[in-house]
Amino acid sequence: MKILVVDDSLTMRRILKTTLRRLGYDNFDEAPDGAVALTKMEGIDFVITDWNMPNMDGLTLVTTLRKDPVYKKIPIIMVTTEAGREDIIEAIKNGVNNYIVKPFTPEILKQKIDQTLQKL
Amino acid sequence: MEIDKILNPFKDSVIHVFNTMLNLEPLAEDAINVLEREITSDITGTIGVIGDITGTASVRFPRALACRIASLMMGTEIHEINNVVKDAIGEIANMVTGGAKGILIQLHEISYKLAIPTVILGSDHTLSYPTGITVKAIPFIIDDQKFYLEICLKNGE
Repeated sequence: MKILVVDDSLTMRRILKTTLRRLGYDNFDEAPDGAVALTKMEGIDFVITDWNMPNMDGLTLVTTLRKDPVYKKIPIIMVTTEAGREDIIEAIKNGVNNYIVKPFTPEILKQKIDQTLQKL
Repeated sequence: MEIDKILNPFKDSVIHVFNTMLNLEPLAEDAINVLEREITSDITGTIGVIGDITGTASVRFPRALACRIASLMMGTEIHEINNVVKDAIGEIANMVTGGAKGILIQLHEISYKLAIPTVILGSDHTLSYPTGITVKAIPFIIDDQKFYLEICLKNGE
């Protein structure tokens, strides 16, 4: 499974990639915002994206992917600091499969990936 | 809205971020009035918020502690402030402010939107604020190193 990690923070991309490696996932690409992510979608099976990013934010990325016949069902987890209930509802309404609030533990990331894959 | 009511959620968020992401346990000291006692730092991560409350929240570090935090986050030794350290401190500011939002919504139904974080560099720099506004800071201790959470927030328009 090839995972695309989308976050404007180099640190957070590094943390996500290190954690994913520990969880046994070693095939991924990365992007600093939604616009770049859209250019890297070929061959991607799973997207993990931040919400607040310059150029194109995570929510716009998700809505764009959901309108694309090729990616309308691709699993997407949003990893963000937006911790409000209304934020989570908005993200889910726009097509996010699962939601993680930063800061997160490796256990939480594993749990959310597993949950998302089981529901496919 | 009393600024003291907002301080505790931010303090709890700092502790949660450091525990979860860095496996560190910062010890919080009593809050101080920044206008009476100027605070300096070498690197500051600051983030604007707008909504039920409006203003800025900042996390302020000495050089050595900022490098230690970035080293822990990146899993590699970093001894000088570089782009990686700047990014890490911006992300700490982001997580602290986002985490505080979650607590404030639960406790007081206070919500806000977060801006993209800004990082300020400079040995012993200070931050300036408009006159007539309350600015508070909470010092935190990790081992023998001190850092600050500094907030300047007022009721939203």
